[in-house]
Amino acid sequence: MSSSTDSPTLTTETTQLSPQPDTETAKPTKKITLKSSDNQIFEVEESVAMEFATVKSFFEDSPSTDTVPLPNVTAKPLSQVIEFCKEQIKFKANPDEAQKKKYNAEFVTEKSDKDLVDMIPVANYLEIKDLLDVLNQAVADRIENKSVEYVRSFFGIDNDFTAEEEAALRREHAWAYEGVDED
Amino acid sequence: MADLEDCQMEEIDDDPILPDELDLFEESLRLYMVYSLELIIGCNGGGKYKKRPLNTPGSSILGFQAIHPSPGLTRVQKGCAKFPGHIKQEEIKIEDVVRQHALCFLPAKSVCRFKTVSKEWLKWIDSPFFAHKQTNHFKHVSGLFCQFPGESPSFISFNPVACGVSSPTLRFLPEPIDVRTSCNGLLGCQSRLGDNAYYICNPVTEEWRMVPKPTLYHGSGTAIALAFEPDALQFEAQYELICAVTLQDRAALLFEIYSSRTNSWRVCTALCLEQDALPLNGDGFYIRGFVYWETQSGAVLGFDLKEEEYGILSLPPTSNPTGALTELRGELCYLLPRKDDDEWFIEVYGNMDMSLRRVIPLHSEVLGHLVDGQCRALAFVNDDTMIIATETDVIAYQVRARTMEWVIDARTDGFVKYLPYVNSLASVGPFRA
Repeated sequence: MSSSTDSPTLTTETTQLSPQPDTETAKPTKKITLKSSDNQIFEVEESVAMEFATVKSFFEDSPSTDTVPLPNVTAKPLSQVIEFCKEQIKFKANPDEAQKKKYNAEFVTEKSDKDLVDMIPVANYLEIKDLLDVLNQAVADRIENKSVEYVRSFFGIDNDFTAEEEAALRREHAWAYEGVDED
Repeated sequence: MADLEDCQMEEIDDDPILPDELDLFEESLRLYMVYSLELIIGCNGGGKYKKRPLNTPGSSILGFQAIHPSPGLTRVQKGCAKFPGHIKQEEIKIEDVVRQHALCFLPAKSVCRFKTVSKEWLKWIDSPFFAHKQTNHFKHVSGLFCQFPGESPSFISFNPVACGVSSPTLRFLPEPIDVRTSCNGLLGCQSRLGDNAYYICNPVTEEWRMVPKPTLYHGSGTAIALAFEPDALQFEAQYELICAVTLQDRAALLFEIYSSRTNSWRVCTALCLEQDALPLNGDGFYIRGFVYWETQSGAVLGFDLKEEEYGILSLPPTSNPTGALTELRGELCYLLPRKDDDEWFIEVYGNMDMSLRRVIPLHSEVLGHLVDGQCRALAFVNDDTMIIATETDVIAYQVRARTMEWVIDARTDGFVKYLPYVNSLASVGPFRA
């Protein structure tokens, strides 16, 4: 990037790696079909599907396929994930950190707890790192002031401690329970 | 270090499976995760883990080969391929994903509470891998440490339910101390007794280390600052304690630095003779490779840790004890309260010339009766929050939203420094037996 001659030719050369929508505009964008575990079909642009590292690596090995089955993913979280990735592609084309931050914040704010909890394994499975970070930060924000019981029910985690073990842990870390509403 | 990073970056770039923008940190974490999983599952012969160099070919990439579909995968008709059976077919449990990826965004107090959620969570939160990950992910200023004359240290939490420490008075240290400097979860303290030894500690984990005796005599005019930058690629936390030592017999300062890497002190060649820099107005703080101390004559002494050189900045001529030298979005800035027509304003000075950058009005409808009397700026934290002390209250003022939160009652019986503190599980150093 730090070249002393800023000739236009050089600029095009260095940017050719990023997707250039203006070149060959006539060519229709390739669509990829994703199939959720509940047999819903999603047709997405290739650029969106390539945001999913798992799908991307799948395609690199079998480029001739046009439908990708996603056996661990149901339709609702998948549609939300696709919505997020579509926006991220726009930010990739026109970087605007402030707008992106704002969009990411709004994306999670309007989601219910269940939506977030359903999307996290999907983002993890599809390996969408940006989304995974956004979701995890959002979940962390929602539970940081909560009790242990609340967190267990938030994620559906079974308590596998005996009553004695749990009491001992609470005693050991009594300071960490100060000020928490036990609900 | 730079070489290592470059080399690793290259390797990663060459790998087609990885996402375009790969976080090196996640990489090292994945590696550690392999160890920790082995630890947890116990499939690695009694829970021992071997140290593998981060950048050997195959090690950091290994985790990805596992998810890489084999070339000869079976195809189902109509172009709809089946996901290869050995890849990611297992049921993903939300609790495992959250445990691995969300808990690290939480402050230490919440995390310590959530040890009781389940046995898996307890094991993970107790592991050094988690402490490392949390230290690198959670960087919010969580509250302020302060110490009034003749008292033990105390901690003011911005969110008492989520952020807190097990021992705000630092009673776990073997001697009565003064808390003097804070950086990314670690505190630098000094004993009030005997040799006035320095201590580095984490007030959450109660880990501590006594710093060996320095070579120079650190008199009462010595100003210190702790520099600790969590490093995703470095599992063992390393920090430095920078001391600006006033020489007894002449008006000059020497810089003596303790490094945790060598567990020893060194005296820098830089000798500061500038009258402007002497004497210093208490302890300083670290921002991105530099340490800054306010001087008593309205200047700032800056010290470049890499070059081991110092420089002097001038504060605005109106600077006074109600102002505060602080960090704002990774840059040094100076906050100065000013009253105009029954309204308080905070002037924000910045850049190397300490010029006026902006003026933030403290809207009186938000401040209410607090607008009367004194106003003192304490710190700017988390990009958008100003901490201000009025005569009766310490408040957190959200600049963009123009909202105010009460933090604690203000004390008027002493003028002390408030040290911004991050509620992290940062390790103090080699694990104590």
